[in-house]
Amino acid sequence: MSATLQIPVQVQGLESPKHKGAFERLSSLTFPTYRDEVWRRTDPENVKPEGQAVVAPKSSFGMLKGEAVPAGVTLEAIEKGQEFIFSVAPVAKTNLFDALNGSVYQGGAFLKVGKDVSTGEQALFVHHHFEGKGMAAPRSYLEVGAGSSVTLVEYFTSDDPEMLAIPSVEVDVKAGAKFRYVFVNLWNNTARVVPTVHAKVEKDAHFEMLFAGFGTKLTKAFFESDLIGEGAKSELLGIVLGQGRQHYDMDAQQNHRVGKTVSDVLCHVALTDRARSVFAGNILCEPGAQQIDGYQQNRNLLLSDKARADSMPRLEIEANDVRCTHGASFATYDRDQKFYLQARGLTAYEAEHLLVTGFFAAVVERMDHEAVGEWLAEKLEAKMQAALGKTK
Amino acid sequence: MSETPLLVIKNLHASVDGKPILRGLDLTVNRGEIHALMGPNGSGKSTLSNVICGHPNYEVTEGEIHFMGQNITEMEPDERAKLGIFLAFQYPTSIPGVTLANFLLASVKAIRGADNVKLLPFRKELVAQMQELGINQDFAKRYVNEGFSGGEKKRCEILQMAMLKPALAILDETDSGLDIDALRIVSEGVNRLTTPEMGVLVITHYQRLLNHIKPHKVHVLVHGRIVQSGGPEIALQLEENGYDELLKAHGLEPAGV
Amino acid sequence: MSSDAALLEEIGQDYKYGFHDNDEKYVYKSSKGLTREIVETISKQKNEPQWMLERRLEALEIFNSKPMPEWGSDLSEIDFSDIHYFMKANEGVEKSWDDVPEYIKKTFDRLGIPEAERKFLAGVSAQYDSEVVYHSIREDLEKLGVIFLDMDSGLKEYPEIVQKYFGTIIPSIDNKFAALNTAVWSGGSFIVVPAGVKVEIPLQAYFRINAQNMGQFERTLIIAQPGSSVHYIEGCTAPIYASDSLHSAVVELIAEEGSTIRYTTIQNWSNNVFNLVTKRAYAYKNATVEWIDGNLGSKITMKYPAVHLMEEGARGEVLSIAYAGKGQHQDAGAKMVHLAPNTASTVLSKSISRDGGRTSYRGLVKVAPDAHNVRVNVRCDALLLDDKSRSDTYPYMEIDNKDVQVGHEATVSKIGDEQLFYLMSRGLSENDAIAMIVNGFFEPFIKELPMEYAVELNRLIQLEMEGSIG
Repeated sequence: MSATLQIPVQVQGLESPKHKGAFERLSSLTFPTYRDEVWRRTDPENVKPEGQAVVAPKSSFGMLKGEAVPAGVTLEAIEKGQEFIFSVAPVAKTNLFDALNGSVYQGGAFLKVGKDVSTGEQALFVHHHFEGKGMAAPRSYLEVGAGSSVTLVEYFTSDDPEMLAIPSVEVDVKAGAKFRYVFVNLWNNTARVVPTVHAKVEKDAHFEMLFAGFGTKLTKAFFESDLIGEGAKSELLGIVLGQGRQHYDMDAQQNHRVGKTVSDVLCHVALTDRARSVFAGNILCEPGAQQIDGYQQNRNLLLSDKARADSMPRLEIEANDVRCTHGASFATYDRDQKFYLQARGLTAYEAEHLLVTGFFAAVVERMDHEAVGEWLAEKLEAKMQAALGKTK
Repeated sequence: MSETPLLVIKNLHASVDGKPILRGLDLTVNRGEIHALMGPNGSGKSTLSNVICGHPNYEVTEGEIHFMGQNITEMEPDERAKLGIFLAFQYPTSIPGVTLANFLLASVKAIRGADNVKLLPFRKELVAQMQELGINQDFAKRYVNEGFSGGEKKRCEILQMAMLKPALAILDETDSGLDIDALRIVSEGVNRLTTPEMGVLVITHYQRLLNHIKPHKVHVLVHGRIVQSGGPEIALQLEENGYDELLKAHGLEPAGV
Repeated sequence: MSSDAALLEEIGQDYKYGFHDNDEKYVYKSSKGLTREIVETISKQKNEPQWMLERRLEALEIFNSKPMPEWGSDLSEIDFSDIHYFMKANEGVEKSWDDVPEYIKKTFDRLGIPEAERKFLAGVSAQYDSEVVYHSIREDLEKLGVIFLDMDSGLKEYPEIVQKYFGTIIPSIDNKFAALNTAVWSGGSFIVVPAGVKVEIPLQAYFRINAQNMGQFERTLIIAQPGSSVHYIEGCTAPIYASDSLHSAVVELIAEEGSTIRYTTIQNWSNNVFNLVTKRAYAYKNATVEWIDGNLGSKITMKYPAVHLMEEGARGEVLSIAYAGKGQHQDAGAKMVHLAPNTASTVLSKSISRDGGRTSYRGLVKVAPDAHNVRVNVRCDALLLDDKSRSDTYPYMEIDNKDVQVGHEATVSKIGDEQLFYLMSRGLSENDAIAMIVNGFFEPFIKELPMEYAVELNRLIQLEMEGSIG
């Protein structure tokens, strides 16, 4: 297995120390193989960069419903926030795709929210659209200041069916802040995507991320949260709909670095056709991190005989005053529910559609943000119809 | 018989997670007396029962608790139980995998001394007490409080009281969750088990239990302090007027606001 | 109940039966290390057919070519060149208990296998080091046509059956330690239950390691023919030694149509033993296989009893407990591989870590593409008794069919404050209260053991007086 990685020629900005650091890290790493535990179920050869040029996105920055961005919020292209990159995840520890991103990134969002700012019922909104062939490597740095309460939707789309995308996101939720972050993975239906989202959650802060994975041929996602202050809470919500031969592989790592912290992972996956999913979660409680609550739940709704779901919800607990649970379930439609709906006059398709909608709504509702919930439902509806229409 | 009072509580202050609940409570219970402690929600009734028994989550910040002349303020819960203090819990916890019979055997051995407990008499006594309380013998083989209804839990608490024969029984909201028949059975059980050597502290929100277990003295707890003491007539007044006036008189918002 | 606390203290502490024979009266003892010559000598000593020698040699090559597993526990301390691979305590297999050498009997006495229990046993196959020294089969078992032999005798007396099934469930290439076992196996049980025969009394065997640096590589094969049922029990105890020991068994079960096999293990190796065991069963149409697995000793255990549900209606169950004390790592779990429709499996795993011990649940649930109407229920509960200990859960679920109901739940927690206070308010000391909660925690396992075997386990975890009322 060749371990050499061809770096895209268009390495820009290497003069900055951060870029250099990322490039050095990248140079020290060998490309993974399927023998690596993390890549056992997704062959890394399928997402290997092959010297494609990096494509810059067309991005818009604003509010979900066009309102004015509140005072105290800086939301613009990442190029304005270069100095902050690799401040959440030290470059020395980053994975290969994140290091590659750090070396070559173009585009992405820079969010800096001051103290005690609230977006309330509204939501910040960023849309990155990638046109043309190449590799997408957007990088976002999102920082929410102490005491603020902010919601952001970051929406990724692309044209190129061959596209390889390696977005990286760094999140810093400062003391007492609440940050709702919605990552909308709606790339071209045949794109290959390796997102890395790394969050640092400080004292009494609350990070709530929703990952909506409804597109792409292959997604191998890395989500990691470090709970570094007492009272911190990290919630990772996931909704994934796979159809055709789409492949979703998600790594959800919750690190309880200190005591009195809470993590809660809820991932609902529905698969039709020959779609495949992998959920690998881990709750890590470090020695001495007492009074931990950790929850991890992965539910899989299998809608076709050929679909396959793997689940590995792990726990690594080295403190005793903990309450950690995880669960995983696999099932198809509840026959009684479907029958009940059909007995009330719904067609099989309508009944299934309703059940899948409900399956995802249970996760989205946890976020408790009406405007974002509605927007998402609308975006996902077409994908749902396409996926479910074919299962009949 | 000693002249020493059974239970003496002096200027008791206690808090949970640094939050003060009891703020200078005084109470004396003598042998042969039944005391009722009444009070609105949040007044500190359950805190008092937990503190008397030594629950580790409650911190005594000031004052003392004496039992039969001994300062027990710092004692472990099991040491207090061995001295003869018994708490019938408001919400008895379940112990999966441990049968009621085995639990009671261990407990009776701990309190009477292992050498004083022979298996056969123990079984006979347990069966007899279960019959008295109308508890099906199958319960002996069931896991402690697991899957028990509210009423079954309360009856099993009284069964434990019967087996452990305490000097002081504290009944914490034993009437809650009981229908009228269960209330009668439980009350009859308590009355049957109460001897002139014993003291009983009945903690209750409502007066109805006191129709069955007649207290000699009634105390009213408000905001962590006993604000009124007297005879059974106090309970009737409270039943009539509720707690609101009392709360207002002490500068507190009525419950439910 | 005060003895509970004492017993809890005992669990996982230095092994009580930490003695060994003063003079090592072994008739034959191989030199340390593993070579082709050793394997040939083992085979020759046992007078084995040529095909078995070939199997052994082939396995040896596989063992040498396979790397050490890098997952699970740290096995780097095992020095394969510092182990005796074969030892024979006396010549031939004893016909009756009277012929068993006195010093070996004494060892069993000191291990505390009670006289009354021996009488109760259907047949005692007590493995002393590598060879079976005593073997008796009750007459009524013989009348039923049940074959219950040590594996060496099984190979001699029923070579065709052994040749047909040996290594078919767990081939040498399965893993490094299965290969090692195949190369140097000695002893173990060979059981064939004829069609329709229900063996009412559990078949029991005791194994132990003795002699410094002695590997023990027993090999067990159980075949339950259609409609039969059998319950096999093994208990392991071993004296303590200064250097590390290796126990690497292979157990193959074949449950033919409509049969039931229950395999119970109470494993209490001394705290220096590496216990690396491969156990797997094939369950055919409407057959049931149950692994009841108690892991209480050893330095490192890696053991994941598996059931392959081969045909419709097959059922698999794993019920296991693990206790890890100081310096111990119990890496145990279960594998349920559903290869046929209408199959069901359940896994219940309970573990306790204390005093720096580590327990890991590692499990696999696999549902093949054609296996519809499959039900799987996995539950793992872990208790951590102090802040030095560790618990991990590593489940793997691979579900390739939609028509399934697969559920997995796991919890890790400490002993509840409210439970502790409740018991203490009834006069139990903190230690007694903890012991009682621990007993209750393991209760779902203990109640599955036959009464006389629960008594055996009582030395470690005091059982309460179940059913003593009324």
